[in-house]
Amino acid sequence: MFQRKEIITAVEIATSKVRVLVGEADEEGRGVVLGYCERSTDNGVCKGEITDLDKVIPALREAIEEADAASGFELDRNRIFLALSGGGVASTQGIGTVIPANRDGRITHQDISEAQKNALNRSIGYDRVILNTFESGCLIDGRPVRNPLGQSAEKLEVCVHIIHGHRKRVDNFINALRDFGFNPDHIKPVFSGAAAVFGTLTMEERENGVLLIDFGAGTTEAAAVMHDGMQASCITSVGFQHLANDLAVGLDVHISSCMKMLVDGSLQKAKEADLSFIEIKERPNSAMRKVPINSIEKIIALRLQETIDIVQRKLERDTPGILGSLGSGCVVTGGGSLFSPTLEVCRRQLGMPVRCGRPINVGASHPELQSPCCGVIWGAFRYGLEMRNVLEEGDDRNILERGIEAVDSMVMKKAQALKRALKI
Amino acid sequence: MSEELELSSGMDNTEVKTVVIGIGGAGVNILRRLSVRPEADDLKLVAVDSDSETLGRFSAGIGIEAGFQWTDGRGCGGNTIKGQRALSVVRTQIKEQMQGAGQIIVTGGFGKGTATGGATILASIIREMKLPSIFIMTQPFAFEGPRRRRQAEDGIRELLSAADILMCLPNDLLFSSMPADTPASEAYDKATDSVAQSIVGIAGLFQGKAMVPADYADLHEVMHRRKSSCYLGLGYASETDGLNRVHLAIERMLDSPFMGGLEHLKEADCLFLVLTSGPDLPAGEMKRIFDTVSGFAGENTEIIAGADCRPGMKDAIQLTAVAICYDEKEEVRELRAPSRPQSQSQNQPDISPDATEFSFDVEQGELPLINVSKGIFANSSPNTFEGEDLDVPTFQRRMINVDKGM
Repeated sequence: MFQRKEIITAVEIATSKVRVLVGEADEEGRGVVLGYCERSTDNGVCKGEITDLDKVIPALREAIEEADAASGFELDRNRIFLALSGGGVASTQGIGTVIPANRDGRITHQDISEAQKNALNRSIGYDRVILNTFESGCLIDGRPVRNPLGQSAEKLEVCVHIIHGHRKRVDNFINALRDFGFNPDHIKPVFSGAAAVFGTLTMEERENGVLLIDFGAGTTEAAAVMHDGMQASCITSVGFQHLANDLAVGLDVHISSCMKMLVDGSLQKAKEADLSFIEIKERPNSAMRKVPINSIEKIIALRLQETIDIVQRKLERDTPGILGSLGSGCVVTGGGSLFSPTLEVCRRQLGMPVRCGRPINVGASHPELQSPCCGVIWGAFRYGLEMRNVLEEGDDRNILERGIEAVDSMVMKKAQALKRALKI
Repeated sequence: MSEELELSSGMDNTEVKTVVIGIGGAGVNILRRLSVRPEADDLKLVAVDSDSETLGRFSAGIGIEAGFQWTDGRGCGGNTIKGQRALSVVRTQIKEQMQGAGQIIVTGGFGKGTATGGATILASIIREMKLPSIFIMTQPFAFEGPRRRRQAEDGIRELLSAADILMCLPNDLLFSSMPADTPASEAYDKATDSVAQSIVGIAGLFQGKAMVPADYADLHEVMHRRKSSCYLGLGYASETDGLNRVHLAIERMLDSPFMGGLEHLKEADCLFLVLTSGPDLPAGEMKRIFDTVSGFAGENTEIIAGADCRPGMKDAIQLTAVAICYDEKEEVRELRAPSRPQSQSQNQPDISPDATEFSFDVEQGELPLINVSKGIFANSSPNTFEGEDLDVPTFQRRMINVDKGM
């Protein structure tokens, strides 16, 4: 039988790079990469926000054209998932309550959908727009349940994690894509922290509870996931570039030399050789200078500790006690996770097992996608795959007179719940 | 060399070796006091200083000459950057001495160059070697002037982020147990002696198989909950001292100069007690000691008590008490954090005007009173968290000195 190809395009506009991935789902619904390309943003993006469109557009054009060509010109302009970040993104927890309408008090699909809709009725400010919504959990009569469908209850409460962004700043990202003939209505923004959840975490971790930290170049996103539901998320506009900038300011060295030292592992080598000084170039074309390693270590440790501390405090502020209940520890992804002190500081500050989060189930066709830097773009693609499942199955349910607006983007949990529901 | 051999043979034993590092002039003096105490026989003493004179007077352990090529053996003259450099040059030598150690106690006096600057280096070495450590540092007397005090405060701030456990003992507390007409030299001696005594007590935390466990991990847990200040008391009494050694030990603990009186026990949020004794400690005596001390503590004080048996103690007992008082400001912040949304759905708690006043929505950047620089983020969108501008390097905001090298 002829199978319609379902192409999904994922785009990430991050601080250091723009990435484009074109892929499709195979027969079993797994993702297959057709084309992938990344280009440097050349400082056109700062702390996750576009500061110079003239620099971003050419990079984006090159990346799109190359990924398109690699995929055999299959790029679908109608199914775009755009991973974005930046200080304008924030999150809130919505709770929707419903008294089951059935006479016997059993919860139906309609009740759940109604409760979800109610949960989304939360004022987030006129200048903000909802990016993603994820189910965090259900309570019936105050008792947490995995799947409320069919249970008898006086009251159903559905908790939904809402991620929203500043409307104009989100528009800026979408406009960058509009210039290439993409229809803005078909561009689905994804918070990059949420995308990384899909890209790097195993199903088991998502079930047991895990803290994901995406330590990128300009921003650090974090998400706490438990029972396959998003419990809390936060974003801090501090990233790897801040480390390099701190060193540049503190040691009077040009930032490019600092970045080079952090990335090429020379610091690690010097530490292993028990040296007390490291030689770095003050400016790209100047003589070498001796800098004490302990000064470098001190500056780095202070910044990393502070960043993790802020993440901890933000998450605990929104959902008290969440960090203590995560069974699978912490996963660190993003370019910062390649720098070994990051993992070390996370382990110490959080007091839980920490692993480096590389994209999962990528396949061997594109080895460059195995790097933790690609956790977000791979996640945006996988998010697209799961979205496709939900929307299609949601359509099925629609025939059975079930509203899908509220479930529109509620992926996590929902896909499974729907699958279960369909078997009934 | 013989020291090295002894270490390697000691590694087979279950007992782990404690290394005490004295840093700077005060640290070496404390080690000298320590070396004459019989209880300190099983401790390995390592002195690190940039002053050849103080090191020369120390003969009971290993002396490491730090940064003699900078200072010509004349000390750092109160310059913390020099202290940092001096210690970082002898990193490998210090590491060698720590090889095979089970735990580290670092001691010294804040306020001058070598200890204030070098303590962070030691902390980073210890962290690298993944050893449990306690820093027991004294803070200068008020009469030593504001410069020393400021330098000490800078040192503490810097060390706090690097050290596992930091106990600061303010020398001024000594006045609480000393008559006002005590000569200054005697005051110094007393400070040194008290710290040495405290080290023996703290080292006990690490050692032996405790009957009632209360050890480093417990202390670490308690101290890391929140920013805190602590007071340290130690009482040592043997049967030859008098009829009632229990009474004497408690009395001496309360009189300890760094305990600063009974009221600190009452105010403490957490009281850490370790009783070390010989093998024949009657259970009744143990109960009496813990009961009595618990009676001194406040109603809400959490008490962690441990008992440890060491054959070397024979008929003597030693009571170590660490009273920990949490910083109140931190507590306020925790109380005012908004409560979990899930629980709000049941019955919406009233938000007091006080709570809204401290809500985190409104954030204001701090005024740059010091010379700060944002580097490449100078013209980017503002980035604040709880009033701090995150684009300014963390070390500048914490006002920590950094050695730029040559």
